[in-house]
Amino acid sequence: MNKKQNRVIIIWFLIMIFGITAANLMKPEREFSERENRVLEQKPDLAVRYFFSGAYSVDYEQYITDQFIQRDNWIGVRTVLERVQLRQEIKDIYFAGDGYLIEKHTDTFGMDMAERNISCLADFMKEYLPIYGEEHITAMVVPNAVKVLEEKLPPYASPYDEGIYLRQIEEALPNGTWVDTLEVLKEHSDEELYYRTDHHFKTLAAYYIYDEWGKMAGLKPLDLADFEVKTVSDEFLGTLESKVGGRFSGDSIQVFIPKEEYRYTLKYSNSEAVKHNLYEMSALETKDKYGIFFGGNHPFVEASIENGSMRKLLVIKDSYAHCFLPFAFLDFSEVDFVDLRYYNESLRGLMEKKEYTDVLFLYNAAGFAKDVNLGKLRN
Amino acid sequence: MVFSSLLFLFRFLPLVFILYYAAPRRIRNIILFLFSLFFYAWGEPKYVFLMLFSITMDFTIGRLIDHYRNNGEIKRAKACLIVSVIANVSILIFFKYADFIIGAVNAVTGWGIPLPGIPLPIGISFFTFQTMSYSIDVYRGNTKVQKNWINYGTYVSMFPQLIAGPIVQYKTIAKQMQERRENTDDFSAGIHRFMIGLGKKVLLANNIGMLWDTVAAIPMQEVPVVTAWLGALAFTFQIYFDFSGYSDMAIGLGKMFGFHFLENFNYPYISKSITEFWRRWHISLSSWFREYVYIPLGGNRKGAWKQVRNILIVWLLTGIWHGANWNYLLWGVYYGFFLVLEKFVLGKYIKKLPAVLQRIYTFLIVIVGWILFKCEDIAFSGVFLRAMFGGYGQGFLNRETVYLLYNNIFLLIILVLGSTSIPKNLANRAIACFKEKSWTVTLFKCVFYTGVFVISVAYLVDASYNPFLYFKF
Repeated sequence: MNKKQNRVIIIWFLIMIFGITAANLMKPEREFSERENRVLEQKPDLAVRYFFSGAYSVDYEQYITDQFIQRDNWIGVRTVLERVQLRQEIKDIYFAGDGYLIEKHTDTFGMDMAERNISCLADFMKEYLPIYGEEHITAMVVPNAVKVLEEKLPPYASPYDEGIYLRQIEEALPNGTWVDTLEVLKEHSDEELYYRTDHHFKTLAAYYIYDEWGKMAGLKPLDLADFEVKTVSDEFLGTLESKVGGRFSGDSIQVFIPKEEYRYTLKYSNSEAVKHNLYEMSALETKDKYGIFFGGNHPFVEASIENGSMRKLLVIKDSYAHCFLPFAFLDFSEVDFVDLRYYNESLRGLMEKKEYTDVLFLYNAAGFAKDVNLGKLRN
Repeated sequence: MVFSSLLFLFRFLPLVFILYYAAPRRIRNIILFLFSLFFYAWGEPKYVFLMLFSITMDFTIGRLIDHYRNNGEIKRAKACLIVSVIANVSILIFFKYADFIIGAVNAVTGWGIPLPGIPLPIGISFFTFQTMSYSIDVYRGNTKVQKNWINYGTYVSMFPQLIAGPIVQYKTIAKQMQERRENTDDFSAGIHRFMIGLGKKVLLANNIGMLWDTVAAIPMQEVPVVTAWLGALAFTFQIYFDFSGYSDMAIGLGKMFGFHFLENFNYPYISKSITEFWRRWHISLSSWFREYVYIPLGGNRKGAWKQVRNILIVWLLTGIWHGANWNYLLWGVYYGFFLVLEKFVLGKYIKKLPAVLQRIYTFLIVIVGWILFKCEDIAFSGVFLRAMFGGYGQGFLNRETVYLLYNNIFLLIILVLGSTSIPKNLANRAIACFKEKSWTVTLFKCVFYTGVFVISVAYLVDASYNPFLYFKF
């Protein structure tokens, strides 16, 4: 290489380094990443003690990474490269058949927490079964796509079999309280039960488990034909797409509107708001369109429905239940739902005060196994 | 701070380039020194003072040794040397091995001395060895004393090699402190090395490391033979590409500032014997031990038994240098054993084998060695090795094995090729075809560097996984 050629290489190198540095310095800072659904680190202020504790360095590096120019698009580069190498999973998410992204849930089911949670739930069920009676207290732990859609998984994929875990839960719970959602969903596994780009299940799947649960709870669940199925969006790109980037066509989100509609009154405990609409249409303008169901996660919501029912339901749930709840509204005049991640009051006290006739525990399998808040069931 | 980070690439590096090259030659060492101190302080805001102390101490002792030597007071010079060595070793023992030693004492005596839990200063194993090499060489008359504290400090703390080597013996760069001349040939070559190192670390090492993590997380009693070997192979490649990649970046950065460091790796996995392996792996460390421990102990010049003893001592030390834990000691002894075996028993038989078998023999020993190295819990390495040799009756392979295999096959092929000089030879031949002077070669180089760089940055931005394995040193 002669001197001029070396100089070209050096100049190009410096352009790359200085160019990207300059672009980053000039870029205005973002506060929130819609895609990652979290607040982005801002530039930390330098102070002596802050520096010497080592915390400044850590925060500053996080700041640079979080504010890096075109951050969201760089992630796509990696996904493309990994897929080219025949990699079938990225960040614990399978690239499954028919364009599905399916979470693998490594390190979820074999852990101590998973076992403990089964005991927590079993204890809770055993304690309240005598009070509410059979058919009136039930638990549904819904399998994730990795189990229900196992035929779509990449060849030779060997994730943990959720069926084993669900059976463990079934065996621990008192008879008559467990609803077998795996069987129901498996029967319909060739239908669109899960989102391709999000970890939740679709409203259709929620319908099927409502149907199964309804029979166990002594209700008369409506047929599919009794609903008007409305597609409210075709462009939903969910949590899984956020993690791996790449190009995906959007998912469709359906809402099931019963032919006979009732008047709803929803009271949100954390905002003093009172709403009459189950669906938060503004969520459709954001990335997390699944938030259309009740606007996302809340610690405690009280819903009154003018349908003349004498039954009152308490649902202890995670976000999987959001698209399920509208179905429950059909048969109960009061449906309250609690998210233990955010709810810190006494559950026992709540149950005594409100005099529910029915209790439902509804979680997804992976969420259930990993949840650190189930101890609150004892409160 | 690590080289493979957005912070280093897009804040530190541009800044140091600007200030270094804008500064007049006389103050370039000061700039380098200050930036290096900052580089170190970034990760160790308190321990930077320890390093300054170590620098000042050995600088002073170096001058004393030189003074006494010049006056013919050899005994005094030796005393100073002993002070330096003891001080440096003590610092190392205190900060790195205190918990280990106290734990061992507790285990043997049953006392319950509380472990001090002193956080380990990054790079302490590297810079204490560098300063010791200086004192010893000044005493031996192998190098001229450095009379300028800044220059000496720059040598010890130079950010290219501070955190993870190569271990630079002072005498190899003594002249370069004052007389180096940065030039475009070196800078360009430095860019090349740096890019290769960045790619090795971010794109290869970090990636294959995930395979190790996956396999290690499976309960070992359920792991079939091939899966276990895949895991072991994954770590074997991870540590090579991680460490040699970092050394490449260090050497490349050195070149960008006009320094020439010695090579630290020379395609170790093509070695035909363990003896050869240690001439190709972490060369700066084995050179250091040979120069400052093996040879002073007599090396191989005092008879067979002394040689065995010397080898074992050096390897015990090499092992424990790598980490304050029993498994590292075991790993060191493991290699000491094979080296002695080769020297006195197996050597001549191995040489008669075809090259392929020699390489397989060596590679297998190396892979097993890495399991001992990686598993700080010796019981776990026992479990893992047992799985590797089918001791749990899980068969040869299962569905997951096939899955892991095809998911990683491309990467593994690249890693195998990358462990040899094949890519380099091919590249050189291609360049020769274009008869070097052609601008096409320059274009290809720029494209290659851009590709590696952009993709590495993509991975860094997406970093869910960017550990540096040799960081505990």
